[in-house]
Amino acid sequence: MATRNIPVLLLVCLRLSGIALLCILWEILPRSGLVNPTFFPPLSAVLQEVAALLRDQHLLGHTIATLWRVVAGIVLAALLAVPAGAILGYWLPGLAAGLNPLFRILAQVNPFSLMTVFLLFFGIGEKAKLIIVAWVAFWPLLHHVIGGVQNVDADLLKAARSMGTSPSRLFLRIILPGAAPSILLGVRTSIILLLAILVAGEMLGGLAGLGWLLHWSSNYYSSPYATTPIFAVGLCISLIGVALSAILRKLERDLFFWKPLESAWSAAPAPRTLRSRPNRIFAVTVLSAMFLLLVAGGASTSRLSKTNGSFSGEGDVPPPSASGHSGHMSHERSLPAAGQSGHSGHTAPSASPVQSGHP
Amino acid sequence: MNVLTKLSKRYTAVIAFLVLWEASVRFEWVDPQFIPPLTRVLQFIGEQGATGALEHHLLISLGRAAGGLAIALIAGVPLGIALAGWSYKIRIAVGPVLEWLSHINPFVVFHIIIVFMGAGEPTKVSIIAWACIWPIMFSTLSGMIHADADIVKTARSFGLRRLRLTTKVLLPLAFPSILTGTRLAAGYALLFLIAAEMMGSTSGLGFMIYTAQANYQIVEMFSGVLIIAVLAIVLDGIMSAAGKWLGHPAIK
Repeated sequence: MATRNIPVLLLVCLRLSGIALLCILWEILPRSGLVNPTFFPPLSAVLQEVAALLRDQHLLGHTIATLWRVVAGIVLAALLAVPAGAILGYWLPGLAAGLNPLFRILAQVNPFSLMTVFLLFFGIGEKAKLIIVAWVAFWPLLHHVIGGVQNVDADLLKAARSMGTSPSRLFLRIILPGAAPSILLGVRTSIILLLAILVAGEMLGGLAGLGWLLHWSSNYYSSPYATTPIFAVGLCISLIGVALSAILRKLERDLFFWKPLESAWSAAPAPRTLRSRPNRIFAVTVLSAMFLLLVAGGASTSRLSKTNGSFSGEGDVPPPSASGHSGHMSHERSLPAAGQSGHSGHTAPSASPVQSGHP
Repeated sequence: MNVLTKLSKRYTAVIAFLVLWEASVRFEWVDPQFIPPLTRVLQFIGEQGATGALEHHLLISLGRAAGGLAIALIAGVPLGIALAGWSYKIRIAVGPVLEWLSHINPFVVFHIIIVFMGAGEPTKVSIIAWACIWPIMFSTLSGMIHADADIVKTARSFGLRRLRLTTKVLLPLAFPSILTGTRLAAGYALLFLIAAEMMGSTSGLGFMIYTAQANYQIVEMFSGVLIIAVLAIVLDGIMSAAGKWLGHPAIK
């Protein structure tokens, strides 16, 4: 395979050509009437809808809410899984092997089905959602951390121990860096699953976030193309997923430059740049962005779910009895609202307009 | 004897966890209203199993999961093979598109498909298929591409052409990778099945759990959770056994 003979410009063009073709098809097929444009809107209409949602429906706020939950969930899962995995993998390998079947079973326990129990223990609101999300991310991450710790170069460990390194230093200087590529891979795999589950969780019951927006906008057909809002929000969700995995892949390339990356798309290893130090600029940028998001996004999310707990134009939504689907949803929606008023008395007035939206 | 001790050793943690569950509820370390004792959950499963109500939900859910997984396998493996067989340039062009598609959430697909096909059985099966197809396809592709170059060269020098090279050499070499992808996909299938059934359905385990949640039937809810977890483990066990049985003895 003549992999490296392709010039860079051609490579870029090739990369973009697939996406461009898809966009053109997306635009032409509905316009020409081959696909019913009422159900499958052209790309331009979807993009217009994205702009409209940005203007009217706080799309940006909902995106930040979803991103905040993703980041908070993965940070929570990592804070729990990395020490636990390191201890199990290095100091208690027997216990790790013994617990493995149990972990496999627990990983299969669907957090949605235990939603009620989570709600009972952690209260309604952001905390329960974070626990659900962290639960989903925790198990794959733990699996990767244990694997990574157990595959740290044995010679390095022996050398460090023979020089009398203390356990805490051994952990911080040898085990953690040695397992870092595997941990990051675990983060990358679990963050995708986490996003999928989070969106579903927001659809089932929430006050903000892209999943919530999608579920509401799908019941609230406003534009000439009935399904445009679904496509618009769905596009945003998928782009978040693409962006997250692209960022994590770049982090892997930058920090673990010594590791040959296995690409799924080509047999030849990626060209290795001659570098002797990890490129930390991007990593620092990502970390600070994460921190900013955690602080600012948390504030914005709580404000959004309190003040904007309703889709504007909610009055147009048919009453719950009109169809089974919307009835099911209004049940879900009234649950958090009622819980919030019970949780802290002074928010009761803010919860009442939400309920009054369903006569 | 050796097998028995190995098995009991392997599942010590699981048994210990179950005993802990029962004990913690019996001694009221946790509120029995929130978490029912294991024996009551098992008793409930037994009672419901006797009436046949449980089997109904279980069979429906299993059918959906199996259907989705089968569609994903039938579509995903040939797609992966085709991608691996195409030239590198086509792969570069198609790569970003497929990667983007793989990031489209099954539930977003659910909302779109429901407009085209209604809330029937095909909708549920197709979102499970959507969730499962990507790990299967990517693992097939990666297994074929990263096949041992020496073996492939040897096969070529023996004069194997495209079709026979694929069926006789590349596919057996990629089999472990495909199996890994399928196991991953099976896990996804159950996860998304439950969520899909909770969102819009009137049958299946997800629906059972959903109604149990709405009516605060904690025992019923936990029995659903337990059944799904056991189902997932059994499915995974079957798959790894099938992999050992079907896999080429030379590739281990």
